[in-house]
Amino acid sequence: MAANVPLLLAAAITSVIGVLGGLGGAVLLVPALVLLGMPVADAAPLGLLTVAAGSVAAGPRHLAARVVNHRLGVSTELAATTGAVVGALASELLPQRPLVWILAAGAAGAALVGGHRTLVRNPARPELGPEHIGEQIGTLSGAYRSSYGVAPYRVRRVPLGLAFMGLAGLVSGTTGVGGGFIKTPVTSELMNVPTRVAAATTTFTIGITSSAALIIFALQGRMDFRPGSAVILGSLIGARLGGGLQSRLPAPTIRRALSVVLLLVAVILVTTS
Amino acid sequence: MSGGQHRPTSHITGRRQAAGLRLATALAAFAAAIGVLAPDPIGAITGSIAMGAVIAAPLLRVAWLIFRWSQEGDYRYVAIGLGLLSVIAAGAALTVASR
Repeated sequence: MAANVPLLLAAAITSVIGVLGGLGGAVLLVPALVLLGMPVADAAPLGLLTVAAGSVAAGPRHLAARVVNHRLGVSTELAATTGAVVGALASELLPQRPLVWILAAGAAGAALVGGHRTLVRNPARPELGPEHIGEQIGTLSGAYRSSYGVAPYRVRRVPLGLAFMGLAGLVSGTTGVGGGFIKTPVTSELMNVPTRVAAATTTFTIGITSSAALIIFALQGRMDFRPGSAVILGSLIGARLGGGLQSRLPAPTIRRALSVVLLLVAVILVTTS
Repeated sequence: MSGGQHRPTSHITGRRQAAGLRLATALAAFAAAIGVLAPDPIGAITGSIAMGAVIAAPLLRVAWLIFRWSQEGDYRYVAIGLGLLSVIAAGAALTVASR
C-alpha cells in the first residue's frame, strides 16, 4: 500500500491542477512520472486511467447542462480512436527516446494551447427556445444555452477536423496524455463549435479514446492493478477538489502558470532523453 | 440551422447516461480505495473492478447512444457508432492475434 501513496498523491495533485488549468491531469502526470524515472510505456496506461476516470466523473455535469454533442463526438472519435489504437499498438514496439520526444511535443502543445485561448461563441437567436437546445437529428449541428439566449451552431471543416482528431488519438495512444489539448481547440476554433460545447464534447470523447487504448494495454499485459487503483482514486479525488476550487481561483492565471510549467517539462524531457 | 433549415432536435436528455456515469464513478472510487488498501487477492480483484468500471463506462455510453439513435431513426449515426465500436474491437483482436 505504502508504495502507491506517492502515486495516489501525484494523481490527485496533477488532477487538481489539470482541472483548474482546463487541460486534464494526464498531461502533467505522465511527464512527471517519466522525469521520476518511469518508462513512457509504463506511465502511458496510468495517464490514460486518469483521463478515463476524469471523463466519467465529469459526464453527469455536462449532460445536465446539455452541452455535449454526442453525434459530433462519436463521429470524430472514429478518427481519434483509430489513431489511439495504432498508437497503443506501436508504443509497445517503439524505443523510449521517440516516445519521450512525442511526450515533450504534447506537453509543449498543451502549454501553447493553455496560454493562448480564445472563446468561440455563436450569436443567440431570439426565435429559438429551450426546446431547441441539444443536437439535431441527422446532422452534426445543434444549439446551446449561451448568456444571451439559445444559440445555434453548425460544424464546419469536418475532414480537416478529423485529421487533427486522428493525430490527437495517436499522441494519446503512444504517450498516455489525454488528447484534449488538441481536440478542444480544433473543435472550437477550426470546426466552429462554441467553446463550452467543444470542451464538454472533448471530455466525452477522451474517455472513449483512453478506453480503446487501455483495452490494448491490458491485453499487452501492461496494466498493474495496484498502481492503477491508486491513480484512479487520486484522479477522482483531485477532480472533485479541482471542481470545487475552480470558482474560487483565477483560471487565466492558473492556465498561464500551468503553461510555463509544461514548457519547462517539455524542455527537461528533451534535454534529458 | 443557422442557414435557415431547421431539423428536429434530439429528445435524448442524457438523464440515464448521467445516472450510469454516477454509478460507474462511485463503483470505481469504492473499488479503487479497496484496491489501494486491501491485501491480495482482494486488492487485485477490486483494483481490476475499478479499472473495468472506468474503461467500460465510455464504451457502454456509446452503445446506449447507438440504441437511442436507432429509436430516433437516425441510422447514419447508428452506423458511425457501430463503426467506432468495431475499430475498438478490431484493435483488441489485433492485439490478441499478435501475441
